Amino acid sequence: MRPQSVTLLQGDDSINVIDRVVSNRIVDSSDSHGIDVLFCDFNGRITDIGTIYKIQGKILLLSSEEMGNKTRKTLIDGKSWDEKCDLIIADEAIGRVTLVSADFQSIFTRMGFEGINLEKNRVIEIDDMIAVKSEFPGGSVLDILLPLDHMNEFISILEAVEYSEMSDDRWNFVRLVVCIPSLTDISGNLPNECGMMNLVSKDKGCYPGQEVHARLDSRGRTARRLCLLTGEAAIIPGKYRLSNGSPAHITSCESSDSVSYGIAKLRVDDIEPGYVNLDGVNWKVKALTYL
Amino acid sequence: MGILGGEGFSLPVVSETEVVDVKLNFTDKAIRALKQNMNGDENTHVLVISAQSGGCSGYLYDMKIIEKPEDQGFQQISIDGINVFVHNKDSSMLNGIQIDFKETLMGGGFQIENPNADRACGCGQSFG
Repeated sequence: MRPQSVTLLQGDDSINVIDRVVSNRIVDSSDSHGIDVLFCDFNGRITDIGTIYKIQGKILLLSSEEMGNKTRKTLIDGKSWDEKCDLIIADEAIGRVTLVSADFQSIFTRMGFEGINLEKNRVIEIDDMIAVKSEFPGGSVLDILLPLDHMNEFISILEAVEYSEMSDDRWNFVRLVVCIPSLTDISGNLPNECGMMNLVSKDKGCYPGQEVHARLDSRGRTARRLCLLTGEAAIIPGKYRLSNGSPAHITSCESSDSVSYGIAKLRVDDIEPGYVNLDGVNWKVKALTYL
Repeated sequence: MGILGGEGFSLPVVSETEVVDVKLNFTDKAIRALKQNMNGDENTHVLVISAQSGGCSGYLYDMKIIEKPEDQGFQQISIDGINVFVHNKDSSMLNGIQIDFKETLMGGGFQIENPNADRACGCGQSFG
């Protein structure tokens, strides 16, 4: 299970209330797709990341646990007096299980569901659940959202088909392998630095941070990038200097079986050789780009 | 029952906002332009000034001439015989604003200066 903030928005104007404050255009999005969204401040820097799902005429927003209440306040404070949009906190109502597997189709087959056609970000409703496959630079995961009062039953079904729940450390390792960013990795950065310009719509008009994003697109040069580090040594998140004196900010790192993965913010010039030297240890480095 | 049919949902979230007695400053030009736009409907219609999320800086101004709203949460300010309404939820953001009217071919219309804003976007439509 992944910790998160879950918010249900209901009312005819819900989509407009969210659309005004996120960096990508969502008003004309399809009902059957999950859409990742970025919340930014007026300087264009990321403050929260989320995914929205349109379900039964309502909108379900999954956003970071850390910023959940602040993001909700942004939405409710920004609702106009004549807009129909109620925010309902659903942290205690809906849970998310993220499955990591080489073969998601077999999970459904083994659970007794046939004919499930998984496509990237396509929302599939199965009984009380929705399933969405998400793709990241390092692989895919399958998110299952379901009522929390059915969670134990669902976990039992997964255990019966030999899936086990990961520890927090194991999940942190797996999410780094797949390159799922946490808010800690991206908060305070610009979308281009995080390889997330796919979540910026250049044609949607004004939203918080839009002026900065427009300038980045027309005139900006990306100086720093979020990167995946791969190596053999363990390293603690923090600020470091590379052997050439350049700064390196490690935001996440986890090791397992003598392999370590980390996410770091590095100068673009330092990424080009394909490796960096941190405290005498070489790390393979690759800039992250989300599509 | 579907994913939304379970238990554990909260009641609709209500944001606590500071309510202040709103004072508005209209320039003579703005009053003239407003009267022109009211078009003699001053007895039945009101000007509603409000703020909503969006724009480059976080919030957008909105001005509408509408029939007097039934919502009880409005403050009513009389400006030279015209009823101007500001909702209590926007009162702390809009208190003290100065409304001017500029007649230019580009960027003309009502212009708002807001003493509560830390920043404003270039076009003047957005503040934060």
